Amino acid sequence: MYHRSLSRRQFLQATAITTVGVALAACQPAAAPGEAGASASTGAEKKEVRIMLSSWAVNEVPFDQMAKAFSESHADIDIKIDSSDDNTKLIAQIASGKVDWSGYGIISPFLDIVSNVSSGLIQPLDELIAVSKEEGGMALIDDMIPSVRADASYEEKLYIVPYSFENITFNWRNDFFAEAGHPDQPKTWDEWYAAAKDVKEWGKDQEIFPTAFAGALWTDTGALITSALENPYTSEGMLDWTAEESLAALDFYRKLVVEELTPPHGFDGWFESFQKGKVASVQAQSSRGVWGQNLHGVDKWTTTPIATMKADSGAGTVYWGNGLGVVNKAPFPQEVVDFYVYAFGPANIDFQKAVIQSGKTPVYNSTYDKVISVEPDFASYKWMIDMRDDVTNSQPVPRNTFYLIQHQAYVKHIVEFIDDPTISAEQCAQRIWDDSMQEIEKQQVK
Amino acid sequence: MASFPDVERAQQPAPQRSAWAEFFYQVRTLRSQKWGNLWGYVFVAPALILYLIFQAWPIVRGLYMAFSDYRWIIPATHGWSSFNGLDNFTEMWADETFWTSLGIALKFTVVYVPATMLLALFVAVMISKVKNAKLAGFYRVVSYLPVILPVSVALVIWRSFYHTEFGYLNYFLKSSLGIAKPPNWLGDADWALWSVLIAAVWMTFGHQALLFLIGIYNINPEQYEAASIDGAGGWAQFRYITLPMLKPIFVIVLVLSAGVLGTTVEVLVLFDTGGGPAESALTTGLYIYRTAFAVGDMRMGYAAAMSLVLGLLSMLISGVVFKMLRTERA
Repeated sequence: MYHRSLSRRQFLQATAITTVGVALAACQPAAAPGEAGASASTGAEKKEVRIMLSSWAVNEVPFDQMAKAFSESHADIDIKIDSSDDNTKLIAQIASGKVDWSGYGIISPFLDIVSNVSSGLIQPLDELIAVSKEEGGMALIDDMIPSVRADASYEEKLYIVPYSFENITFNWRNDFFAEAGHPDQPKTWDEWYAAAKDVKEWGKDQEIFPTAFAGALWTDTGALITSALENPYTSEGMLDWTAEESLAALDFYRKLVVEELTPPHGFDGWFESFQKGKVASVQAQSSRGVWGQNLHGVDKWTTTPIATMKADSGAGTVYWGNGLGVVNKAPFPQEVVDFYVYAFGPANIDFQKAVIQSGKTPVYNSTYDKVISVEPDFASYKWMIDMRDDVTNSQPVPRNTFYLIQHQAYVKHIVEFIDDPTISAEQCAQRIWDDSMQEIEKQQVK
Repeated sequence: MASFPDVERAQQPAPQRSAWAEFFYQVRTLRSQKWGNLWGYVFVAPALILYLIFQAWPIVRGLYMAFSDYRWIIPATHGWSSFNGLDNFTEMWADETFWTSLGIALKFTVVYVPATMLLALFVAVMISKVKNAKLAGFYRVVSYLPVILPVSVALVIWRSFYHTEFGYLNYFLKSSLGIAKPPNWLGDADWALWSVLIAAVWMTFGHQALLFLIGIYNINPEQYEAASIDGAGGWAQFRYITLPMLKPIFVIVLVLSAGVLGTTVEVLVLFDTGGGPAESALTTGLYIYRTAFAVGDMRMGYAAAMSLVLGLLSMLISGVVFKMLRTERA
């Protein structure tokens, strides 16, 4: 049998030629975004403006419908929503200079804004919004609840266009509370404790938990601390753990848990109990109240501001916006901002209504005046007005990357604090503080 | 089989060459023999290129990152300038959380690996005894189901099982055994790791059972017949035929299990808080994930250094397993 084989020299030549060819093809300069835009503007083809969006948000709010409507009303633009969370890919694309996506979300400022700005993922929006020709461009900034705008900003620049906000609220079963003799919302910790005791007594045969927490720093003790202290944050941007009011918050939390007014540790298995209708109240995001309404009936759950340590004490509540940003080196930054203004801006009443119906609280004052306050179909969402007022009077959380650091120290030590009665609130607070500061020290680039 | 040119070359009388010419001829021949048929390289090239891009390069990059202060959200630390020598390893040496998490991971691995293996072996042996082919197939499918069950579904099942107030397990303990205060399986630091471990064993043993079953089916039945004639009972047959013949499978199973040392198992999502109550289930893998992708500046350099140490430990364990269970085939 005869084999026709390459000589080593031929093989090496073929390999070298192929490699050089592939390398040349790979090194060919990509068309600059401007060029692509120029060709698109001639009418030959639409500009494809891609937005990377978290899947949970796509399922919750009608972004797809907005993209379709915008694309239909703009002959030269096609908005594509890609359901993904791959910001590492975006960072890599930015580093390479060729970026496929123009928009990115969902961004929760207390978790993401510093890291997204520092890593160069997103860019400021003020100038892009200022020159947007979409209806309601400037209203998007002026009409936004000022504290929500502050939350979406970093170093005096707006980086995120929020479409809704979340705040920590007291979500409660008004039917359970009323039957236990407490038809009104508890406004202070003492009222909350008294109501919880009565609900426990009332619901002991049904194994009802009078209250619950969601197992995160902001929803649990963090919110208690903001409800107690006028200035809950230290100059370092940490929660003021060692303040007298913070220690009282820890003690109050332990009292609720130890007296079995909550699930074990305050939050163990709370969600399954909540689903089964065995939780009478939960201090958590306002959307949890809407989840309760969806599960057990609109008339069963009420959402109100959290109880404060004393009447009218504290710095309001913890809150944050859910929003989208513009990717650095985006191929179509103006177009994507135009879409944000069109879709999420206060002029788009249909989208605002969809946001409200999803249980999220809108970010524009005008939405409250034009929809929630006056439209009969939205009467069941009037509780949102109190949330708007609550957030208006609240401080944004500090702009840093300390949340998860504190959260991890907190969830570790709060369990020890609950399980070991010999640990005092001072010791617990000090341990959370020390662990957090130790981790923050590690974050310093040497 | 030698190709025609080789045969022709062999049949020709060796030409007279000078010493230098002879030397270069020998070198060329040697290289030619060494390279073999060059088309082979063309065929392996796609796999090799993919391996280099997706395996070799990440390893090299990970190695570099392990010796740097690479922080995801600080682009200035992404280049060569962030090289910091052994700083990450010095920090790791003094990092209490790292050692605690490694201890938890070791504890998990030491129980998880034998538990999974024994359960898998038991199930495989039981299935192999089933004579009815259809029934055996049914049992094989049932034992493998937890492996292919979506993780989210498995987690819902186990959370419902372990729920402290309304879980099936505590309901049984309360109603049937009269235990008034049954454990808080996922919320108590003493129970949490073991509760998760049971779920992890359930979710993975099917894969190992299948491997053992393949090994058992490959054992010549005549060996069992011969042993039976010699008077060997069931246990003796298992002890002296099945177990030794499954030695290569044990090697595979143990080496694959060495990766469990990191224990980034999905079942850890069972907890309301990341590392379990009071971090009682914070394994090294979870700590590495947290360092690299969640907390603060996302210190991927330090996380890579921890991963390197963990990888070396896993390699060491695999090496020991190979050494101890060396067979003709594995």
